[in-house]
Amino acid sequence: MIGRKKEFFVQFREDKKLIVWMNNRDKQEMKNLKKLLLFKILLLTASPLFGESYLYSHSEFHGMAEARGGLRISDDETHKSRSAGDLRLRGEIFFYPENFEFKFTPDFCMDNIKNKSELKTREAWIFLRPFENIDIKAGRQILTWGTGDLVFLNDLFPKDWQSFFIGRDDQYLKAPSDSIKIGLFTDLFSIDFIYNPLFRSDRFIDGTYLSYWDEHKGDFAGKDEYPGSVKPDSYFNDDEIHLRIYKNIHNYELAFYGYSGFWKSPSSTDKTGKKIFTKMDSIGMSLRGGLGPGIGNLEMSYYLSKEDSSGDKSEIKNSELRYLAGFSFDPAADLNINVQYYIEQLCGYGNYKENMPPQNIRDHFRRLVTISVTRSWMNQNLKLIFSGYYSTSDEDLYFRPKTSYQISDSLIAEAGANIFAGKNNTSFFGQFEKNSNIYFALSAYF
Amino acid sequence: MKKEILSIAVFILLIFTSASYSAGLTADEIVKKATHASLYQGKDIKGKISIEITDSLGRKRSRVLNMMRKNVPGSDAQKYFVLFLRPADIKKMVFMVLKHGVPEQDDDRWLYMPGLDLVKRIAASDKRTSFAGSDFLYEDISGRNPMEDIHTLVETTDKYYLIKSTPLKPERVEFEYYNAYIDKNTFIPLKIEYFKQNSRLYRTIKAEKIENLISVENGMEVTYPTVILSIAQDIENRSTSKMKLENIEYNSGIKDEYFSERYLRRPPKMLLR
Repeated sequence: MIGRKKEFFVQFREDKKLIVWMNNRDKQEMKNLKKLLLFKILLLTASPLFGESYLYSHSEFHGMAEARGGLRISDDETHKSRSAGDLRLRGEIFFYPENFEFKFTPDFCMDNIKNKSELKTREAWIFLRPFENIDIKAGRQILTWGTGDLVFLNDLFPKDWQSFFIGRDDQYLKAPSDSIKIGLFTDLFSIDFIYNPLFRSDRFIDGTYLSYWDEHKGDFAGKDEYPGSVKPDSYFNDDEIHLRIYKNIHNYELAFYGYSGFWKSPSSTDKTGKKIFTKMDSIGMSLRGGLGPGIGNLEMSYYLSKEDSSGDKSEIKNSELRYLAGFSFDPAADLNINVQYYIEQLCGYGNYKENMPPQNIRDHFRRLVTISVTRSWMNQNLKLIFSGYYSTSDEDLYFRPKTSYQISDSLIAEAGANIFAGKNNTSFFGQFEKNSNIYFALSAYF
Repeated sequence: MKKEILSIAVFILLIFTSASYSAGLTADEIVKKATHASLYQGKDIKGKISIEITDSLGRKRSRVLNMMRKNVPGSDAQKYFVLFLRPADIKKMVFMVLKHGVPEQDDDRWLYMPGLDLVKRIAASDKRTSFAGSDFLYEDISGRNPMEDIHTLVETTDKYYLIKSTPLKPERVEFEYYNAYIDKNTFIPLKIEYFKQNSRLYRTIKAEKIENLISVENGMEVTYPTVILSIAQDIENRSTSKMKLENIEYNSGIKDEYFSERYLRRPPKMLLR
């Protein structure tokens, strides 16, 4: 480093001589040289920070390359038999000097179903700790909270249901948010405050990958049949606020939540038939902790449909109450079982019933049982996960078996299925029946 | 009648236990000292753990993690924080344990999965599960509570004590009993052998390398004999795991607040490298 500084000063003196020599020449050029000098001075000041060894020891470079393919196991008139086809390359750059942290995750995917290649930024954030008890994370980030196992009540961060249902890696269920997250930590409780200047919806089923039941058409709809949606698009007006106040009381985690924004999937239709998002606020709470031999969790939330709070507008989604109770335990070594019971209660049901055409009326309570069994063998290199959702009210189910094998420390092979079945074409899982699929993937981590 | 037989049995057991009183130390005292030597030295500890797993077909897997542990003063409770560095697919995953050190109370365990930004609570009822796919079990890492077994001193040589430990609740473990060879000077278990029915040896843990590490505790220079290389062998599955400890630092003043959701989501910088 000292050698380099010496070298720099020699160069610096020479540059200075050069300026003197050039004094009578073109002033613009001299300005440029001065700029160059200034830049060099800046570089010198910053060099202790960006010196080779420091940069090397405080940064990480990683990545993932993946090939993934999926096939429908039943005929779907609206789609080809292929359900997924990804060639993906993801990079991860992480830099963590003394005063901040920075992460950048570009994600390039050649998507055979969409027939296009996309370079997306999955993460690009900076993390600061300006005071002892305040954390700030700003930029594109993945956010999660709440107690459910693949069931979300108070977690109103964007989800990518398309990726989930075609069998992409679980982490792709979470779509990124462009947010500023401020964490305040006190002895009494902790607060997470998240501000998104622009609302971001879920990546809901729109026919691109999976066909769905179209009420107006009275039939299944597929690729290019989606009427399109109009998303709130005015920065700082169409914003979102997420709030969580939480505390660990003798290892029972108690949390209260608040949200102000829009429904995460379309909640109404405009005059032209396009899907739109209306305003929604929510409050909720959760409790999680040891219960007998396992872990129990309780969560509830109230979704207030602000543009239809009394539930008398048939074209806008009514308010909802959601409840979840879950239990997870390990009955034997390398075996975990998770069971959950989930209820969605429609508010203003009387008004709703009056205003709806009878064939489209849903139940007052949508009840769902989820079960997930995870078993591993061979030093945990071979894993089998059976997870399933069954709705007792809709009489439909979603079954997600998956097996993965760790071929080496950097290579994972995976196979699984997404099976949908239902008594009616109109119910949530029932409408995806023709999309039941199997998939395979090979992922390399480096 | 049954009660009487039981009390006679307990009485005989008591006589037997006190008969094994040797060199001034009972089996229970030796086990207590051994537990202290292997798990409770210093106020806190941090370091890097590398585990190399070789399975029956000779395939190798490696795990690298940074770990910190802190004792809760005045109790047997401890806090553990583990940040995985390798393999790459589980990089930045964090595992946190609040061990209560009370036989009937399960530990509290958390897992943070960075890809989903998910803080998960995991059940701790089965401590006899493999740690990170290795031949070490959770209980080998965070320690088995001595009150869960009956300990008898089988043999004393000039180098070690041989202690046989039989579980009080055999239905909760996979072994029938285990023998521990405990160093007479340092009280570090040099070898532990686990047996199933008919005294069939199926699992061993050996301390291969012990180093005397110097630190300062309450203003005094202290020496902590520390196992820096140990090997767990699963004889049934013909799998072996080597665990190496590096960059160990005792009493570095690890803060209590590190063992919280805040740091699960954002591990302390000192653990990142």
